[in-house]
Amino acid sequence: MSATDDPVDRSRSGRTMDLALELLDHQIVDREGRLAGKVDDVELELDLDGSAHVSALLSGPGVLMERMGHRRFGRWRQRMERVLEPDDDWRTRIPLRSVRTIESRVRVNLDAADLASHGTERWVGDHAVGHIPGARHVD
Amino acid sequence: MVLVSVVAVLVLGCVQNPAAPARTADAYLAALDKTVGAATSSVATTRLAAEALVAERATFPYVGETVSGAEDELGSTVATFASIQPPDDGSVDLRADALAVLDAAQEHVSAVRIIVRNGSTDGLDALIDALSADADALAALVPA
Amino acid sequence: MKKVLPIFLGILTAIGGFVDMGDLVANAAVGARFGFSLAWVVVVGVVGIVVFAELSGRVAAVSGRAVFDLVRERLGPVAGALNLGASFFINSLTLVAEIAGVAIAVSLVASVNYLFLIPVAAFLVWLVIWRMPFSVLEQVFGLLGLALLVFVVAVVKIGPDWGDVIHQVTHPAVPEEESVWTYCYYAIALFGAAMTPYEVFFFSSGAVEEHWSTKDLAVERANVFVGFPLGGLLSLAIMACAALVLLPAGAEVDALAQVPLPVATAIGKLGLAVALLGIFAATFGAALETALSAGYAIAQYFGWQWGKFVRPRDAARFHLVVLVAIVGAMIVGLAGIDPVKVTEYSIVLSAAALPLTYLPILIVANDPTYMGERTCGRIMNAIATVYLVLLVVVAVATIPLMIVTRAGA
Repeated sequence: MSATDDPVDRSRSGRTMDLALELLDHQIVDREGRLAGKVDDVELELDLDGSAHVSALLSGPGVLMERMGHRRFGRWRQRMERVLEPDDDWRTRIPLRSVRTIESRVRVNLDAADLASHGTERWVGDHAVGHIPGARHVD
Repeated sequence: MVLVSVVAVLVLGCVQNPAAPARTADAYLAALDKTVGAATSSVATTRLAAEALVAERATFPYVGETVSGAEDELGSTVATFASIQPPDDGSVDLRADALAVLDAAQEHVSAVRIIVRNGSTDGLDALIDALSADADALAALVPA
Repeated sequence: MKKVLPIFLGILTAIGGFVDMGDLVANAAVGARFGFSLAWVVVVGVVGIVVFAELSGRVAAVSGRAVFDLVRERLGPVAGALNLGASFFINSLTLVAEIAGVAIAVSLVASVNYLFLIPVAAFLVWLVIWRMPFSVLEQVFGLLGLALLVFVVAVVKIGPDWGDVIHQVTHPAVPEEESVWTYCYYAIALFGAAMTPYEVFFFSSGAVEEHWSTKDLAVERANVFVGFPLGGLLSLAIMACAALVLLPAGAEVDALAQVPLPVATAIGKLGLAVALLGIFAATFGAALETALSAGYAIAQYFGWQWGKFVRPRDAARFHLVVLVAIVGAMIVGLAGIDPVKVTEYSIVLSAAALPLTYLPILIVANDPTYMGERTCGRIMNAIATVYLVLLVVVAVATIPLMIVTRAGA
């Protein structure tokens, strides 16, 4: 888990949850109901009283690798993503305010296209699959 | 990772090397036993397929492919057996007897294949009988 | 009346779609070598897959999520990755076997070397996945697979001494010429062929593809409880044909070509043609399922958009994985490795990996977060748990048996 260094006073109450069970690795679903990656990691902030607070969800290439302990590869992958698509302002970080509901799926108030996890999807769609005749055909 | 590699090596090792040298007469007999089993299978397959064709119960393409497959299988079975070094004189004699039977079987199977692939059934009846005789001769090589 | 047709269709599709290359080869090979003495394994395997298909179908219908989708979520990314790795590898082997099976089935009619037909088969499999709607794809090949009923007809036509057959089935014994270890090895192979893991991935992802909800549970249960066992009957018929025709002649099954030979002997050209059609449909349908399963497994682990229910453009990575899987299988197939050997390895390794597939299903089916009030009933749970123990025993025994028997030689 990544945590910011400065403790912040957040006396508003929130939901206590078992992160491992209820949040991590869960499916993210976007505004339109499209599948948009998994919660690869979670960003925590420390309150003044020492308790941790989820401040954001993290999702995208390399993030899971970093969490599973392959930090160098994970960070390299994240850098690669930025190198390959420097102009786009995709989010690896989904702040908590963009999260609408947390059930087994996590609904966020964003478009899948805004998320970093969509990067490779766009690339594959543009450069490979999209060129095959019938790619826009609905079943 | 290491565990997976070890298991992979062991599993691949199960792919038996059939041409492994037989060091004793018993081991040679065991190799012959296996060979007879495989050869009988190829001969039986060919015979059943040929019988079906003659009785107009199967099509030429199907029988052609099936017999070709059996022929290839038999060829490799015989080649493998022939390459095993017989460990003693008794085994050398056994080898000669076995190869005589196996060669006859191969000839008959190939003959079937040639006739069938040419789209005819002439001569298959005789070959079917020959194949039955081959199966018996093979069985006689390894008295139970 | 309106409800009856989909149920009927579903059952027929399930029967016809049950058999794949693994079942064809394993049942015929075992019948030709062991007669009826391993028939009980098919029964045990069918009950197993019925139980787990029911659970995974129910999970999909109630939660709207496919089982593999939930593996990472419920068991964590490492367990999920291991599961993915093993499943994907075995799935790929199976795909190679199925595509080869399609090519061989056609070669038996067209008299062309099957290797030339492998690229054709691979392309057709991809094309059907790309263009055919999911439900059509399932139904067409499922219904065509019913042609395999000709094996049942063949058994009846051969007219064995039923008393003797029943005795052999109910009194399993290791044949004289075979060792106990080989018997066990083939039991495991047969078991792996009956309880094909990809079947379960496919079934639950398919349920989501077709947007099943709790209303569809009745249809789902009919498919599973009636369709699968009848499909298992087809497996037994294939075994019986081999036991009654090939075994007495001393012919063993080392090629797919030998599988329909008893049908030719018993019924004739028409029967043979129908059998070959059935074999084609079974292997083609299975190729579709395994290729799609490759996509499902990877996409569901990473949370990518997957499925044929969206435009291909919108599930680009999913379709790319499917395409790569098919191309990969084609390349391996073209290397000319004996398809029957590949099939044997795929079913045996499937057996070894069964707990990996089925444990997550059992866990999720009992989790109220996904299932609400419809968690698994106690009886189902009991049976499923017994099976899980059996699966672990089988998994542990597989590799040692493989080594001891030198892969069933």
